[in-house]
Amino acid sequence: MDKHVEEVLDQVGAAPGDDLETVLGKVEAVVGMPLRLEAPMHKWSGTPLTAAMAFHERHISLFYAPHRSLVYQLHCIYHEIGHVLLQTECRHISKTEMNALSIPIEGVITAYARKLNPTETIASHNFDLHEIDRTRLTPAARDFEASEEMVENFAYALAARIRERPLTRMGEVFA
Amino acid sequence: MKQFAVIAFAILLVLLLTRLSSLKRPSARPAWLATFFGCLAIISIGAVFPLPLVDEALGGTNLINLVQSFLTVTAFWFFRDAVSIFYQKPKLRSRWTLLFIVVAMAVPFLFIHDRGPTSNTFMADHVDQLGNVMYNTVYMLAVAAIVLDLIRLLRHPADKIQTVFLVGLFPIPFACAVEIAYVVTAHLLPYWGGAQLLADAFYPLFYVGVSIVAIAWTTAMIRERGVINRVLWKLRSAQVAYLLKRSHLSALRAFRSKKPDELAYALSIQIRNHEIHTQIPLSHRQERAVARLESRFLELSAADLTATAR
Repeated sequence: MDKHVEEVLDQVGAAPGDDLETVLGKVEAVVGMPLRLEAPMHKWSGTPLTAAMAFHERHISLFYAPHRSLVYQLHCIYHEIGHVLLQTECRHISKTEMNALSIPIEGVITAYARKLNPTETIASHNFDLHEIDRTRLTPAARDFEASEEMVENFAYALAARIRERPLTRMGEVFA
Repeated sequence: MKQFAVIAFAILLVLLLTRLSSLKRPSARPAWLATFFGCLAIISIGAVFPLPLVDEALGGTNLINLVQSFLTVTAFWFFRDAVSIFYQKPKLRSRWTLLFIVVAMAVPFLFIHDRGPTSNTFMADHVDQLGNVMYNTVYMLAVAAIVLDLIRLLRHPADKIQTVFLVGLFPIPFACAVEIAYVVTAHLLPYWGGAQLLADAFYPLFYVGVSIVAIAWTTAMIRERGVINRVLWKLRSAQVAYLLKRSHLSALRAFRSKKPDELAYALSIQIRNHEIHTQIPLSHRQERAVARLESRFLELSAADLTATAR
C-alpha cells in the first residue's frame, strides 16, 4: 500500500461502517470545500466514463454514471474522492494520449489487483488485455497512468477501511 | 463416562489453536489461558492419553490428581477473568488467592498416605482417608465458588450466546455438590450403594456443562471473526474465477485466498471495469455470479446515492 495513500486515509479518518454521506462529510472537512455529489448531467451509458470530478470556485462536483451495480458505482465515487484528496487530476493529457491509454489504464488496475492477490484469476490475460507497453507512453501519459494507479489504490483502500468490521466487546475477549 | 471429557477437550483444543493469534491482544489473553489450562486439565485426567503415561513423569504417585485439580481451578479462574473483562468488572482479587487455593488443596492431599501406584480411581480408592475427603471438598468448593461468581456476572445475558454460556455454567456447581456429597457419603457410609450413583453423576453434569460453554464460545468466535462471510466470499470468488477462466485451478487459487474479502471486491471491480472498457456484456451466468459476489458488500453500499446527491 502506498504510504501517501495511507496517510491521506488517516487524515480523512475513514472508519469502518462509514456510509457515503459520512465519507463525503469527512472529505469536505479535509479539503475545506463542499462536495456535491451530482447526478449525471447527460446519459453516460455506453461510454467508458464512469465518474468524474470538477473543481469549482466554491465547491467540488462529483459526477457519477448510472450503473446497475451499486458497489461499482460507489467504487467509482471513491476513485473520484481519491482525485480530490490526492490532487492528481491530470489536465494536460491530450485526447489522443487519453485514447491510447484506455487499455493500459485497465492493465494498471489489473496489475494492482494482481499485487493484492497473486492469483491468475485476475491476471490480465484472463480478460485478453494487452500488457502495457510503457515505451509507447509520453511523459504526460505516464504521469496520468501513475496518478490513476495511486487513485485506484486509494479507492480500494478506502473501501477496505469502510468494510472492516471492528471486533465487538465479545469478540475482543472471546474471539 | 470419559467420552464427555473427550468432547469437551476436542472443542477446547479447536478454540485453543484457532485463537493463537488472539494472544497478541491483552483483552483476549485470559480467555486463551482458560482454554489452555482446560485442555491440560482434561489431559491430566487421562481422558486423552493413558493416565500412567501422564503420571509417570511426576513419579507415578498420583500427584497428577493434584495437578489436575490445580489446572481445572486455574482454567475456571482465567475464564472468570475473561468474563470480568467482558463486563468491565474487577478481576478476582489477585493471583495470590489462586495460590492460596492451590495450597489449601495441596496440604490435605499430602496427608493422603499410600498414594501410589497410578490409578484412574484414585479418589475412590482413598475415600476412606480424611485427607482425601478434605482435598476433594476444597477442590470442588473452589470450582463451585468461581463458577457461581461467573453465573452472578452473567445473570443478565444480553444476547443468545451469553444465555448459552449461562446454561452451560449451571450444571457445574451441581456437579461439584454431587462430588462433595459422594466423597462425604462414601467416607462416612462406605457400604451405602447410593454413593456410586453420585460418583457416576459427576462426569455428565460437569463435562456437559463445560461442553455447552465451549460450544457457545466457538459460536461467538465464528460470529465475531466473520467466518461464514469469509467462506461465502471464497466460494463466490471461486465461482466467478471459474466462470471467467474455465479453470478449476484458478477457482481453487481464488478459494485459497488469504484475504477473501479483498479478492472478492477486487474481482467484482475488475470485471465491471473490463465490461465497460470492452463494451462486451457479461453473460447471464457471469452477471448473476458477479452480483452474488457483490451482494456480500451491499450492506456497506446501502446508502441511497440519490439521497446523498445534492
